[in-house]
Amino acid sequence: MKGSLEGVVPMLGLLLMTMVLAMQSLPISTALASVLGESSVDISNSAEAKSTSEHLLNYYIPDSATYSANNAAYELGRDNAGISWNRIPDDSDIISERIFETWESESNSKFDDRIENLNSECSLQREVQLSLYPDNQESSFDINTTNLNLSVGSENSDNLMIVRCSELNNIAYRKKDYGKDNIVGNRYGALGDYAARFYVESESQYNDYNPEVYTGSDSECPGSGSYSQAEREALSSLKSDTPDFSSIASQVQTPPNASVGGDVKENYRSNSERESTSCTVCTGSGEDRSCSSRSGSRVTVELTPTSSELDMRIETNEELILNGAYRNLEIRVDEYSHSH
Amino acid sequence: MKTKGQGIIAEIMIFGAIIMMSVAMLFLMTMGNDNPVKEENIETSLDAEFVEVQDQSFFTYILHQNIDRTLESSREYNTTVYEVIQNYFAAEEFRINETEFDKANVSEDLEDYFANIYGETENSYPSNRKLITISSEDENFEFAYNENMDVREWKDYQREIPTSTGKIQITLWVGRP
Repeated sequence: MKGSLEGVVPMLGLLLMTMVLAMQSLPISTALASVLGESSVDISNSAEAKSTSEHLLNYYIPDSATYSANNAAYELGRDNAGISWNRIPDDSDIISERIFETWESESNSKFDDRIENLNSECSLQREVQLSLYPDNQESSFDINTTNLNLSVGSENSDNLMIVRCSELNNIAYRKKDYGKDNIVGNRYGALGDYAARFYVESESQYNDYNPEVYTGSDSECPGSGSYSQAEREALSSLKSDTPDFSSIASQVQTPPNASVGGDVKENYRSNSERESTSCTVCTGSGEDRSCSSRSGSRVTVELTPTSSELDMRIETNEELILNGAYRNLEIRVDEYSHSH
Repeated sequence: MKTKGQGIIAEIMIFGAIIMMSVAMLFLMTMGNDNPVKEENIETSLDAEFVEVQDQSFFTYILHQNIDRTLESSREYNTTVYEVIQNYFAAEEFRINETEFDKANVSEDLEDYFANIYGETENSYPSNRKLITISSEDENFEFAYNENMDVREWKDYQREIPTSTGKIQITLWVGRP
């Protein structure tokens, strides 16, 4: 029909569609650009998080654990293994356990410091615990332990280690991914076991020992008996009767590739008595011979043992990097004393 | 009273309006907004982000290569660059696998290694100005590459390495032209 608007309707539709499409294309392109930009930033952040966290778990943590355990062993070994040696129990396993627990605790303290001072894009979201155990099948260290196993674990029940690298980049690692054992040639456990058995043996020998009063004397006539000579004689007698370092060490098996040394200092009460003596001294011969009575003295020293101080030092023959230098690992004990 | 041809006139007017609006929209979409600029920004941004990914892999790669394979000296360490750097700062003496080396030689070998590894990765990795710095409390190292290249911006990546007495920090600086 002429003059009708039926041809105008498709044109109106076309006009509307053009407007809608044109208006829509602007936000869509903006949104796509934004999403693409964000995705690329996410990919970059994820790559950074992954490489930094892998470095953290595969290198920083195991190396920090090793240095912490080695340095703790070095410092404790120079300080009586960090335990008290007075009134020790008669079971060497209990002493070994104390040495081991002190070592593990000190290692963990040093390890925590290193983790807290980490300057990295990523941080650990949970506490980590360093465990030390021997490389053999035994449950505790003995003199034949040649290596130390270190294991780092998370202190949560699911054993997940969460590494956080930015607001949105938390990476969770399972125990089998991060808990790789690190084995180092640290024989502190073997040295500690030796020290424990050495001092249990010394306690045993000292308990069997019945101290006496040891006497020495010296007399001179004419003249005076020497006090120091009398004391030397008494002391020699005391020492020959008291357990000495070698008699104790000979009863304890030494770890392979290790050297042992030490010393005993005996403490005692001393009494001395000096008595006058007289003697006849003759000079000359024949008709010129003359004799006279002269005075002299005898000194007697009595020593009563009060205590024995037994120092011991054991060191390995292999060097480790300890506190910035290659050194032999050692345990020195210088505070053990047995009262008689 | 109806006028003849009014439908045709309306059609012509609407058609004209459509053409004009389409031209206006085209103008808006192409010239009147910042889409071309945005596209350029996205491309630059994508390039920058992916280059950072490459930087990270390059950093990991150069630290964990066996140092021996690029050395011109006959010394054999039989271990990674990471281990060599860590042991260098560990103690006064330098030992690897129970063999002792002179520290002056080790620092020469590290310099040699970084120069060679930069050149080796030139084809597969964008040509940038690079600098590795190793910092400890007592000693610092710098190994540079493409020192004459003009740099528009620097990006740095860091790794901390524990040592017996503390830690050292290795930083890869990448300067983009």
